[in-house]
Amino acid sequence: MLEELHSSIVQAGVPSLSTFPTDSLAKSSSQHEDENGQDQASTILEAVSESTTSKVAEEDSSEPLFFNYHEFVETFYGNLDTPNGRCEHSESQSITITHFPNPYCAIDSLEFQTTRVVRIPRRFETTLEYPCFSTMLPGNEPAAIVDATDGKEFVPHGVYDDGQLFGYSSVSPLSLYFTQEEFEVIVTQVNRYIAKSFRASSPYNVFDIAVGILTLGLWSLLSHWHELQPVSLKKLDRYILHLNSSTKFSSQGISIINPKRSGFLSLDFQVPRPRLAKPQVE
Amino acid sequence: MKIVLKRLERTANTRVRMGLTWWQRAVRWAVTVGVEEEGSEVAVADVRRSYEGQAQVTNYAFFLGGRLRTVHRARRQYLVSVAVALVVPPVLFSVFEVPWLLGAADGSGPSRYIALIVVFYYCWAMAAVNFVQSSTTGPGVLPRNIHVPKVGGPPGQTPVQSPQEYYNIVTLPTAQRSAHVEVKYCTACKIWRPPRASHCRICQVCVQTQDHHCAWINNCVGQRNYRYFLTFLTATCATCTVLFVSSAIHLSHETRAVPIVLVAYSGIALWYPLVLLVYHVCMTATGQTTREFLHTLDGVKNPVLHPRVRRVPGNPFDSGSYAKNVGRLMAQARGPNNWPPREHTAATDWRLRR
Repeated sequence: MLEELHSSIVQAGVPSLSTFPTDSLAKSSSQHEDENGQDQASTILEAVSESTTSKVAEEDSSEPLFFNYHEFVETFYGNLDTPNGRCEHSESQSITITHFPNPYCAIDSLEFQTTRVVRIPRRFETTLEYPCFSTMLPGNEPAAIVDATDGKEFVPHGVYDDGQLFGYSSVSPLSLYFTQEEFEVIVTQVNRYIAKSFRASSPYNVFDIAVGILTLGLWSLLSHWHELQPVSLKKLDRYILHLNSSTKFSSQGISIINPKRSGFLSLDFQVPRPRLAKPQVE
Repeated sequence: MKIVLKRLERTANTRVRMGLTWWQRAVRWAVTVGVEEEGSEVAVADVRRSYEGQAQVTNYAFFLGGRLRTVHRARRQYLVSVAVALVVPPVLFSVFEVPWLLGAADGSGPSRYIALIVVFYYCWAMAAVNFVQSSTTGPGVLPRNIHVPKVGGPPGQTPVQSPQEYYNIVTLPTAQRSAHVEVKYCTACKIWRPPRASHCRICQVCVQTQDHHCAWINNCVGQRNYRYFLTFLTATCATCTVLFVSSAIHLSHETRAVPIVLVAYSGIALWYPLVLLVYHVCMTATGQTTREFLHTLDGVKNPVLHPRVRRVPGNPFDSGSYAKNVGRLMAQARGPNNWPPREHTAATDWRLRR
């Protein structure tokens, strides 16, 4: 059901708002029938309505909602107690793939084995002129897949993709390290630096065009060969270096991949490979 | 004899293991092209700079250590004909027109003929430089394999098929309530393409804000070379106009073969770049790239065959103001090179994997 829901959002771009929370509700209640339904109903409605549903609900319900288009849903996965035996699960028990293999290190390296990457997608509500990343911690997006019992916590439920742990909802392992507020501060600052360096009216761009014409293209050759770049992009480099060397980041083994490395396609957070908090033995 | 053969074999084998010899490196520095199948593993294994691997996974050929590029397996007669068309007129102009203009300026003629010569050479230089730049610089190539969905199976194995969701077209909201953007996953480059980026089948790469693949410059026109392309068109129109005027002035004084040829040549050569330029002004004014404009017309391959450019309802890139739209596309920031060919790298780089 969830997969259907997700793809209906994707394909038509028109998730009907009336069905969205109900579907999630149905999922959670069917999953955890033993617990009291009332409580869950209120949690899930809170979760969904928090920032956007209430806003959009007043308007046209055919508006597409933003979600993290990197994630996908899987029903064929291994259980936590039998990680190697993959089996088919019901759609209400589908896991959401929220973290991915780390493409910034060699595939046979130790780093690759011990780290994963959470991808923060680009959002287009602010501007289409330059890259702008989502300031919402995965799981908080308007059309994120929610799970009533797990709430905003990353809780592993299945094993997939070479022994990796995944939960039911869109909440990623990034939630283990950041609160929504902390995350928003970081991404907003990254977005600010990018906006400054990518705007057509930025001083660097005006200078680039003017000097390019005056020097008969010699300037472009120079800047092309020596990779000259706007000051704000250098500031972005410094900001990311500063964050990655801070104690919060380095002590927990997390780091931000410079968006220059990913072609500004996504803002990638490198996190330690999620592990079970306590061994699953009775 | 047998011993000698064995020795040769052994040295050849060590060479493969040790990498390339200095002269092989020098040749590869001058011209780097992708190797088909055989020996390609050796070539990729010995990567020091990114372009050496990029030549293997894209259709680019690199020159002078990755500083210049062209599309490798493509028809090159268009590129050559433009180059010839660019070189012939200044030669004729320098040999036959300049002496007459100078003589006329020396004698009875006005000294502004000298200004005509200066303007011609300036416009021509602009056209030539921007032709080379638009055709040899990267159009804004997006790196590969940034969004590999899963590894699947033991390390080293090629990634398994992308999940079902990655084949959908994702519609996302924009600032304008009535306009949405569509985002697609490129299964060849394994990236979620931002809006306006598109995979070029000829170049075998995804290009940022792709305008179109231009056969005349044998390169894609995208975010990082659009301004060179536009300057090339403008400068070509200006060069043709100046050449037409100066040859016509000469022709009004004496009837000679070369000025007749030049008048005819510049009169004809002016039209194609001029029409293209007018199209680009109209398309950018309505907030469209060539690719988007052609999408609105079914089956038309060349915009010049379709006489009208209209605003598209629900276009999220249309700001409502013609001038603003033109500025946003024509003066867009080139942005950093997202996959620099001269970057130091190793063969383990995911971007260099097929």
